[in-house]
Amino acid sequence: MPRDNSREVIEAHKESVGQTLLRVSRSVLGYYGRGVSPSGNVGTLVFLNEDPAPLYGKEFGLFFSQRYECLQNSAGDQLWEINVRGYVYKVCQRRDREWCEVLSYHFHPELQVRFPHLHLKNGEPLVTNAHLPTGRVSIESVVDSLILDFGIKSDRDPK
Amino acid sequence: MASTAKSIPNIVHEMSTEEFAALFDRTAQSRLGMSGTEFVEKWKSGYFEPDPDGIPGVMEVAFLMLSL
Repeated sequence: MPRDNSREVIEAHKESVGQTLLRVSRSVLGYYGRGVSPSGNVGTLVFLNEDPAPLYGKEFGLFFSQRYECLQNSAGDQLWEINVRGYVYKVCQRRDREWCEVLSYHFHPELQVRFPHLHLKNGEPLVTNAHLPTGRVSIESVVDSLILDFGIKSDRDPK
Repeated sequence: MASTAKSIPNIVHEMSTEEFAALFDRTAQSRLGMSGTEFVEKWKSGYFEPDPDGIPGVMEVAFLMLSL
């Protein structure tokens, strides 16, 4: 019988996301999970305190929320792996002491609009009202973009 | 997305049901000026239809609502 590595996989995912977000923010990340067994247990990761969480440099902020589940691989080793079921990653900019949304990546198939998409908040109404399809976007790539394109600097960034 | 298991110090705060409910309520208040309970009632009544994704702040709150 394959070893049950479900708890380790869940802990590793939480830690991996936490380490990723540390590259751009010191805000505390929280985890909320329901149920005991890994199968059917959907976990939620979200910043605990600030909304949005300020990023290094204070000009930009990030609302981050991700729901994921731990599933057993149906082929071969049957070990457990993470499946991200949805996310909201919203980038805001500080303007006149207010947080203004710049863009947000959404994936919420359990709610309306079932495909992963991007919202842009600057531009023509045709664009700012659109749900621009993206394919699933990882928080790792969003963080990479924040560092590359938004100038977020961190002394923790190993790259 | 697959994650490999390895030993790493825990840097994520595990939330209780009460803590998560409070966070949901705070988010609803700050985004939409309503309590979490009020948001759930309005969501179920179709108040944010036909395009809740087009209303600023709604989907952040709705997404957290899924975990209640």
